[in-house]
Amino acid sequence: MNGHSAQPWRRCWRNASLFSSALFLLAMLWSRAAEIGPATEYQVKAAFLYNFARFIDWPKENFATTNSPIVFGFAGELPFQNEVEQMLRGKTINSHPVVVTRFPDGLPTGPADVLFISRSERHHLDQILRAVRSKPTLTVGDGLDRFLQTGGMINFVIEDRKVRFEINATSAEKTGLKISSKLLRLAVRVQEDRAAQ
Amino acid sequence: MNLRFVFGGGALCSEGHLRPLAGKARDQQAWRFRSVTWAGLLAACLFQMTAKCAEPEAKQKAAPSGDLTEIPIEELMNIEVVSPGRTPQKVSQTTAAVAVITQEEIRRSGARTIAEALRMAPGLDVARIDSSRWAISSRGFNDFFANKLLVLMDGRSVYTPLFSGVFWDVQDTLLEDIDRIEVIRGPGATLWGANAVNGVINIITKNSRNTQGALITGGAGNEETGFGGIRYGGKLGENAYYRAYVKYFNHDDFVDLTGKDGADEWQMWRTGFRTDWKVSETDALRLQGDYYTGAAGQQVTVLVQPTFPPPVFARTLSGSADVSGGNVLASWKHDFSDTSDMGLQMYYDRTDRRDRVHEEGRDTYDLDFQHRFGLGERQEILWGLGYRYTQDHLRDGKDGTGSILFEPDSRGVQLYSSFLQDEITLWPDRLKFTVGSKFEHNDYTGFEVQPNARLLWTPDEKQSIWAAVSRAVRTPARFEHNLMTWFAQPPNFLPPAILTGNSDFESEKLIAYELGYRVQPLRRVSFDVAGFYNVYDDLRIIAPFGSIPSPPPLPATTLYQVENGMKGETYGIEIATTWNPTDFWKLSAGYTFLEMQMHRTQATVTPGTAEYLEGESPQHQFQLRSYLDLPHHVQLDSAAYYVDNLPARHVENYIRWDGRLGWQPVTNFDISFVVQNILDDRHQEFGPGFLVTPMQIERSYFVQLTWRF
Repeated sequence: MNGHSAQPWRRCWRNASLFSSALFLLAMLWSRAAEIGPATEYQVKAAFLYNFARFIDWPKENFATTNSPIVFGFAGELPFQNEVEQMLRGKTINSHPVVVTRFPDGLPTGPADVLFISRSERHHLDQILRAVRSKPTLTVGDGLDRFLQTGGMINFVIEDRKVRFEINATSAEKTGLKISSKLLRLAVRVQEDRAAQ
Repeated sequence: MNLRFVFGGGALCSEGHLRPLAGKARDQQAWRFRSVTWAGLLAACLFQMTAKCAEPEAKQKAAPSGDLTEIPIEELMNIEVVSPGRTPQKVSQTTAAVAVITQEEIRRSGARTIAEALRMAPGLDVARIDSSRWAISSRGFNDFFANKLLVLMDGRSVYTPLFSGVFWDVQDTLLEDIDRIEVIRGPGATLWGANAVNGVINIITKNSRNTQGALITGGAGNEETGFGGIRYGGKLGENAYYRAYVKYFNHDDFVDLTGKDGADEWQMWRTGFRTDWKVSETDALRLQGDYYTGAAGQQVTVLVQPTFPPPVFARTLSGSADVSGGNVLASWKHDFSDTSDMGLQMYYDRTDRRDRVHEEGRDTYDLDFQHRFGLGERQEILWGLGYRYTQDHLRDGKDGTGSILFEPDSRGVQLYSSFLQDEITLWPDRLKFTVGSKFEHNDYTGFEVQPNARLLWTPDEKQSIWAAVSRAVRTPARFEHNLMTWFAQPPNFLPPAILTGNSDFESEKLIAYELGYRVQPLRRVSFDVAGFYNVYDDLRIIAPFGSIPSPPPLPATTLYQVENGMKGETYGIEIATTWNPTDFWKLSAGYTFLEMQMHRTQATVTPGTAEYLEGESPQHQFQLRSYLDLPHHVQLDSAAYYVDNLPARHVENYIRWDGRLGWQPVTNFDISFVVQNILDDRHQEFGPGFLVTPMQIERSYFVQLTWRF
């Protein structure tokens, strides 16, 4: 007795319903996914930067008035730079307007509240971090090796094709920045230095 | 040519082609397969509908595509990014020739099995024999029974103590769950054991924390007639995660050397799970297991003597080998401090293999302990202990041909091992010296010692140079000590011969001298060179030692014995380079050169044996791979391989070109179209041998859909 049913119409019917449920599934997931289209890695990272700034208790010295700008600095070369800047421009965080500046040579030449350090600067990491060590600047690394161990505060990591981040809480506290517990909970890893650098 | 389109695993109105496996079992399998996928699809539909009903607010909250700053941060964490960041090529700190095959490379290669994915590692010789069999080795001595490679899956050793080689048809998992495959050529660093003579392949799956949610994948094509898998990952509690998967595939037969359909159809069911629990800051537990069952068609030529006295006939048998087995592994890691930790691991492995001429059942129990700690400012000590017990039952096959027997047919073998390694920082960040040794006691040869010494010099951040001297041994297996078989040797298989084991057979020995250089001169270019000079002794050969006469005119039966009758030197160089011309294009190239010079150490060894060993592996191999990210989330990937001829096996050189087109139309849904062997309708990658009938590998194309949610 053959494994396939003797009546071909039965098999066809079964297969057709399989096919149509697959189509139905496809249609549903299409409509669901239309809510959020596929995103590029740097679009997601830019959105994270915005959120990091929202969940930090900034010291009073950073902002002269409630409308003083909050400065996002980008050190080095950044892929899809324009996309990233477009996403952040024109936004406000707690009534501080977002301003984006670039430091193409790596070293920050002006004040920045959030400093994103691109992969192109990974060999100058020490230099850059030293330059802002005493300032209340949130340093964010783009998946840089040993970023947290060198004194950086937040480092992006990619896990299973999703953007995640790890936090060095001690580095942040040293400069007076308070990272909200919400961010700490969402981080894949939180490092607390046992001994001072 | 039957092209069947498959959605999640079912098949549209078409002729089924599940060919000659045991009739009833095959029908059952087909029925089971279809109902499982039916059920899976139905469940997925229901899930979708309830999910939509349960979150009407989600639709309002959803931002127009592009403005991700409007969505809550928790949702940001769930977005899959289309072009995962390319981590900069780190100049590795290892003192060995290491290549890492990433999950991304596996996904974009179109490989459907771990064995196929291994082609991407420079320095590995991967030859496909038929649908389910491969000959894989490193630095020479390639054979279906290649025995100088140690293969580990998540810490579980998978080479078989039957012949010290690997049955690649049962080494598998859901490919999407593989984190990376580390390929170390050369004698493994002291930590690995007796069998890591020419290399170690370490297959590492992802932590279950990183495989949360559901994944459904399926596809079909002309050779890959149907495959699918479902995986679900969830949380068991705070810091405890799990995943479970089930997969199935069916592979069509290839054609034999004359062009006729081979009998090598292959199908497999596999299921497994993994749990990871971070008990505390300092303790992590892992528990995992798999179970598989399947059948692979094969064709073998054996000698049979149906009457006593002779004649002896050569008979070619086609049929399926039924395989099943499973494993369970538990591991505990404890961190004492930043510089000190320990690990305890134990596993149980069961394999069952039944074909027409041989049956094997095997249980393996293994316990491993290792401890790492710092000594003073500059030293790191690593030491460990291990115990392994493997018990087998070997029997004649279903046909009762009596062609392959073992004496004793059941044996329990114990292995005690320990290792000690000291890593000394002579000059911080610049010069590191590692010295160590593995000490083992096995039931075949007693004590074995395998010391090695390695040096790593890092002149600056962009380059490193390493050198190593090591001693490694390949301990005997049941094959060498206890085999009693009619020895059917191609091409004519007659006059008759018998091969017996030899309980005085010793370990094969190697002293390896290696030198390597790694450099990343520019941000976008990296270069990795490794050279080696290997000196072998006591290599296994088969030598005649007598004959049994037969009444004339029948030919006498020659008696052969396994002996340590060969020594030799091999040397070669492996070059790997990667280049990112732009952000969205990555190129990878590799070249392998191998020269072998073997010499027999006994006059009784058949002349020509040395040349045969030398001709088993290709002298030159070259590969070029390209990964291109195009707009609209399209990926175009391509890989070309050149493999030199195998003189001993009369296999010509070939160029193999594989290509893949991938598209992600919406988040979390991927479509792939893969063509393997674009250039050749069919080509041969391997030659006939003892119990090996090679097929011609045909051009294969298939479509695959993957959905994550």
